[in-house]
Amino acid sequence: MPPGDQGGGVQLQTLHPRVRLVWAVSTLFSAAFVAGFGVVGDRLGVALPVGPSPVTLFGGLAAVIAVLGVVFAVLRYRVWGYEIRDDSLYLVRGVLTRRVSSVPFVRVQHVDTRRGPLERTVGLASVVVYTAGSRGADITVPGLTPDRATQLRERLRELATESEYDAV
Amino acid sequence: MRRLHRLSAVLDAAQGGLQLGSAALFGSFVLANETGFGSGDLAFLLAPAAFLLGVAYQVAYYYRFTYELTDEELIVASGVVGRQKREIPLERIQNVDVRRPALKRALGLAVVNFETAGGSSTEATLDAVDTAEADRLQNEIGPRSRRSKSTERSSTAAVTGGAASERGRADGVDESATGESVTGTTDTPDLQGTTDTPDSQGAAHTPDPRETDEELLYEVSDHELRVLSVVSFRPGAFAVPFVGIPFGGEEMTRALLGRLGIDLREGVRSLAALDVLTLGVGAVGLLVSYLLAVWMVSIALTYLQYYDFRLERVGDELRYERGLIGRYSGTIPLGKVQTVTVGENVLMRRLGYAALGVETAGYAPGANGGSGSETTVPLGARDRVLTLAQKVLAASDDTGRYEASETFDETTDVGEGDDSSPVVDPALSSPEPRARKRYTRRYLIALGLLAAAIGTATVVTTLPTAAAAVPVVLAPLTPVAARLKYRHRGYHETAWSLVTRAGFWRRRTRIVPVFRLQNVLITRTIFQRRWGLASVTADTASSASIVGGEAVIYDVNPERADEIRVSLLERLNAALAERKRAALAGETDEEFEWVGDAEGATDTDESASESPGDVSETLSTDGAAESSERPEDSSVGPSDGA
Repeated sequence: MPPGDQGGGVQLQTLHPRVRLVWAVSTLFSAAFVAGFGVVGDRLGVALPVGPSPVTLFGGLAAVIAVLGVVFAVLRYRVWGYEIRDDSLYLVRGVLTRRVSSVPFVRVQHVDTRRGPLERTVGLASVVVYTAGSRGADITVPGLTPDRATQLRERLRELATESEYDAV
Repeated sequence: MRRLHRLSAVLDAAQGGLQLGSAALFGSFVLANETGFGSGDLAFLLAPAAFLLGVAYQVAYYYRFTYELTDEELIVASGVVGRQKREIPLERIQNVDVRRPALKRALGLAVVNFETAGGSSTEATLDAVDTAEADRLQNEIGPRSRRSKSTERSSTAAVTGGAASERGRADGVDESATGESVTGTTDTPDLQGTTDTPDSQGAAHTPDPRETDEELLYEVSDHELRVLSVVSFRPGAFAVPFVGIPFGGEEMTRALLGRLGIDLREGVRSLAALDVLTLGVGAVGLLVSYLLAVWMVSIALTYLQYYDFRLERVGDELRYERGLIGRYSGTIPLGKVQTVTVGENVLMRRLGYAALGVETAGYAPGANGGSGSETTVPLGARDRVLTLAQKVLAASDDTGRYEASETFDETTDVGEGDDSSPVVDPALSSPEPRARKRYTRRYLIALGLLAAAIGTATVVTTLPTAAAAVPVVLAPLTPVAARLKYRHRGYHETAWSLVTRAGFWRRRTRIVPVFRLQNVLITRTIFQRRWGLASVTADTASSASIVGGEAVIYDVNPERADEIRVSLLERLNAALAERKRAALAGETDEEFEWVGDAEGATDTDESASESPGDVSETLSTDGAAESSERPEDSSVGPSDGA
């Protein structure tokens, strides 16, 4: 399904396609980590009483994680969308559980841009929005070009100060 | 600069010394036994040295720990090697808790905790000071921080003339007097008497109005305490029966099992030799006795915890006190209340009781490290609890909008078996009817998975194959369970708040003031999407939601969910705009001023005040005190004028 047809046919902002690479590679890292267990186990001569050898077991697990990671990266990219609305930041995300959040600008405490090592290699950045809420207290918008991230951060900061009200 | 109490230094020194000493003793013995390094004699050298080290550290800690309460902040300096100095602005302190665990209580000591909104951990702890000092801190910091703000305010108000506020107070008294006569409560004749001369009364109160402004809101009677102990199942108690095992519990269990023909020493394998009936009886017997033990422990713990529970209103704060062996007390500023929860477990519902939870930002009173249940009033007759919930909600909104918008305009709603409390117990809208089918399906799937798991287990172990049939037996019950789940879920929207309810075993009705909302979140799990359903979570800064207690509207149509989201956001913005306007206008004494202001009134005054938030807070605390005075005086009697 195409991203962003919620909310009365308004097209949501999508992320940069390269974010799929970030997500996929980060799950590949964890897959490699799991596979590493199997290799180490094999080297040390660990064998389970029943079932396959450590290499097959953890290798299989790693393969499943890797495949799922790639599939989810693609799906997640398709779902992800955000938009700056009149009074709130509107976000749609989630592959299995679809989540739609509205963060009123009044409630934004501060806004960060963040660039992890993986994001930096592919030239992307994230914006993190902090609220005082207990759930989703920090909301991350990933997969933005650095310029766009800075823009979004500045825009959110402006909107937050415009509508400032301290009522915690 | 003050220090902690000397006795606490002695306690800590003894504790630190013993800890380090015993660790050294144990360590050197292990070392001697395992590696042969050193002999056992080493322990006799090392242990006292470590003991002294521990004592020395604690003594040093005592001398390096100072605190000071100034007009604006609490300053705590601590640390033996790495020094730390913390300055906490008083108006940022949300709660002051005083804890007197058994031993410290016996020595006349108390531990004082200070909580702020930021972070989940305690901001500062004074462990320990004497009881009088603890009371002083608790008394001073609450009203004092607010008074410092009210002086700020009075400096601005002085321009417009202090007479206005005086008039407001007199009006309030007048109204309370009329309210008294209307409701016809017969108590507090002295209040009636003083209200005849409002001026003199006002004058008498002006020196420090907060100090004398106390009111006992709730006291748990002996009967209620017994009921509470019996009906409340504490999750923490489930682990406790195992504690008894080292002290003969093992023998008892073995004897019990032996009577049934089960010998644990032969291992689980012998279970297969038994017929299903014996096994079943044994399992049920074990479970029942376990639950009984849990229940007994739970009764004892609850009794100890909530013995002599009192809830008071002191100025614009709630203060509770409880405990038989250890004594605990804490404060909840009414102006910082995020959500109010009415909790009723299945037994309490039967007997017509309910519990009340009041949550503030970053801290849930009563939730001591997650072990206690998060309750402000542990148990009370349902209608009394609901009335109290209303009062708390009314006091939490300084604009007085709560009373105006909903206190008595929804009397037509009939809650479950009780129609006296409209707002906190309204008739709720149910989730979509098809959600019931979804729950049935969900339980069936869960049972199926359980059966499959047991089935797999029977192949690997010697468990009888018939065991896999046990979950199947429960299958006919799933529609009933689904129905109960469905019936106890619901939501209700009012102009001022959102009410959500969920849970059959422990039903929670949450009331979220709209102006406290932080985020609105719509979630649709993969299963919900199959059924075309969605859930809406209304998130506040309340800490209770970290433990999973969120206000969630379950299983409505996605379109409806979106409507709710939009309407919540709109109402949030409208409410905040109103509050801001009221704050800037500086006239919260006239509570109903907002009614006149229409939506479209342009609010471009942001630049007029540099920090509108501060102004509003300044006003809010005063307004809360005054707006809360009126309904409470009129509805409950015993406001001790003395």
